[in-house]
Amino acid sequence: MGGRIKIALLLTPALLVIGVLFAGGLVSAVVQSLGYLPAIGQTEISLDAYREVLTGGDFLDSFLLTVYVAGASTIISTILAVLAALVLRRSSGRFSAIVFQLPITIPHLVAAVGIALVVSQTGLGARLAAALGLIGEPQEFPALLYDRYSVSIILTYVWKEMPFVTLVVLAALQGVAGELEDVARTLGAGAWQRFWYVVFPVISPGIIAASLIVFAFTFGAFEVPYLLGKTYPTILPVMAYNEYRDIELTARPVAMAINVLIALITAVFAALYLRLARDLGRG
Amino acid sequence: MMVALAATLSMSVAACGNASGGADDAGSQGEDRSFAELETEARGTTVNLSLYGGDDAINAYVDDYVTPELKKRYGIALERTPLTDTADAVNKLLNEKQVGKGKGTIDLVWINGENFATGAEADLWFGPWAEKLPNAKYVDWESPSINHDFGYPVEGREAPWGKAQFVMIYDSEKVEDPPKSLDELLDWTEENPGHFTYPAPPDFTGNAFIEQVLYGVTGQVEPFQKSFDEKVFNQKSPEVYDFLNELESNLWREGETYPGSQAKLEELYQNSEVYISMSYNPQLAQRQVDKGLYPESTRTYLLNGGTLNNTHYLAIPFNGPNKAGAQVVANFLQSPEAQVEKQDPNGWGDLTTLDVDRLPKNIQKKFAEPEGEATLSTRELQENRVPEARSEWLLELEDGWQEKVLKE
Repeated sequence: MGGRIKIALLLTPALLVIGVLFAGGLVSAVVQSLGYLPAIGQTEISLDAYREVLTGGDFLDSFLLTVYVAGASTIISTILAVLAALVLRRSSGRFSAIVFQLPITIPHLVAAVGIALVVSQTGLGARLAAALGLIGEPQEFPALLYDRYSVSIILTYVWKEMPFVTLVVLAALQGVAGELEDVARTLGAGAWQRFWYVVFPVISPGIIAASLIVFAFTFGAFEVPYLLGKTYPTILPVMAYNEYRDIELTARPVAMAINVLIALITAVFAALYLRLARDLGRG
Repeated sequence: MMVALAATLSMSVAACGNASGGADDAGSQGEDRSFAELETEARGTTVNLSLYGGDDAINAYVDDYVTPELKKRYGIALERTPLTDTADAVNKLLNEKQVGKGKGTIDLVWINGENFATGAEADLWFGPWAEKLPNAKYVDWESPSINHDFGYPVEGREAPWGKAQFVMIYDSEKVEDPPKSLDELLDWTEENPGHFTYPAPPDFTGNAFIEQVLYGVTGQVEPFQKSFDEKVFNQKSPEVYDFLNELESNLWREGETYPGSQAKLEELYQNSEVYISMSYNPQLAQRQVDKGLYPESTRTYLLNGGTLNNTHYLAIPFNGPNKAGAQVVANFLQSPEAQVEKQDPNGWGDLTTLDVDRLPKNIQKKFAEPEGEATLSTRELQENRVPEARSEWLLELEDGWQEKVLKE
């Protein structure tokens, strides 16, 4: 009993911060999404905003795009990160450490602008390709910016998040994996067997945790798609922002409804993902 | 010392504001002090001016000319807060109103059109004050293009600062005879696919373009100066969308996406991705040529039937902490000297809001026609003007554009 009180006391400060800042914001978003805006004389509670969001085709378009961008960014950066980590653990080179740590320190905003300068049709990449004779004119460079497949957005995310996943996986590898692998080798396991039966189970919790963080972040992040995305459809956070800055104040509940839905969807994805991970762990 | 003094003064001003009006209707009191009193009270204070920050020339005008002059003449420290979108400031004020924040951070905000109307609906503006400024005598407050802001009654709650007019810009080396009507534009884009586009509404310039299309396809201006009429709108707007959809397949990126802002369109023109551009600033082309950003062969032209013009203003928020200072600053910005400086094509190049006939003769001369091959004479601009439609029309048109042009 005394132990419980101690735990509660120790947790209180952290819970207060989370409660006031996070839950407070969420609660006020929920309240506004229900149409409660006394400043413009709206005090009636209704689900109209949700109805409007969920029955319009825009939300579905944006939702699918968001899942695609977040999913592709997560899968690509995770696979590349695992491969990189497997190579990097053998080399103690300082150079590679810097290459992998540098992107982590650079803000997403700067990364997005940098990628845009490289991949735009009048950018560095296009000029280089034209100079090398790969394309006739810079304008013939494929449209990778504001494009249908969100190539530049995914590139930015991969560039930013892959090193993060790599570092997490590296940390896991530096534990017992090396020794276990040696044991497996002495028992005659091949390279693939060593990876699949020995190394992967050791690093998989790290991979799952890191990739979930990447997915949740890219699902809810705003600035990169805002800068590099096409006008329509936009990913959900940009859609919410566009509604929020709509000159008609009645659009505010709609913006908040989208935000609440983003939070819900992320939570559902996280729960499913963790459950899947648990099942995998058992298997 | 100065800072401490400024802080004390602005706090006492805020205290006065709170004492004289309730938290809810502080904005509806208006100014009853004399200008001399305001000047005395403003001395030594800081004034926060919030304005769109995306134009280097405007920023330079404020930082390099206005700020030092205000310091010298009135002892006022001007603090410029750049906004990416004026709607952000309106949203901020709305949030402050919601939580009953009696003392805000914005003293003066650059605004017009929908943003002013939205704010006025939520009672976010202090006033009336603007018609009492000493320099208001140079302003034609009788003119509907001054006393109505996109059709919304101003009622002294904002002071006119300048005028803008929509113009088309083209590269005469790549375009021999620029399209002056909508039919010509269709033909031109068909012959030059991928080299024309417009910023996606609700961008300001994009809005102006689709409004210009509304005037063009209907051949009418008059009906849109009246209150919004759904019947008329439902009858006329399909023509606008039909035209824009017909144009779409020959736009930059085949209309699959649009430049998100005026700045992005300028970039496309600068990089020769598009050959025809547009701006709500008639001097922009000249300035960009002088800076070496646009090709020397850049020219400005007008559409047949005239182009949109409007007035932009300065407003004081209901919870502005330094209302006296804000009025002194607004009065200076409206002075003939500051307006001459503002119209310099190598600076901001913004058209004056003053009625030139009311000015002393020696100052009238300074508003001579702007020089430069890439720009047009003030006379030509003035003779080819059409008024903006009332905001409601534009809002409906924007919404319709999202549904019927962007998504289809």
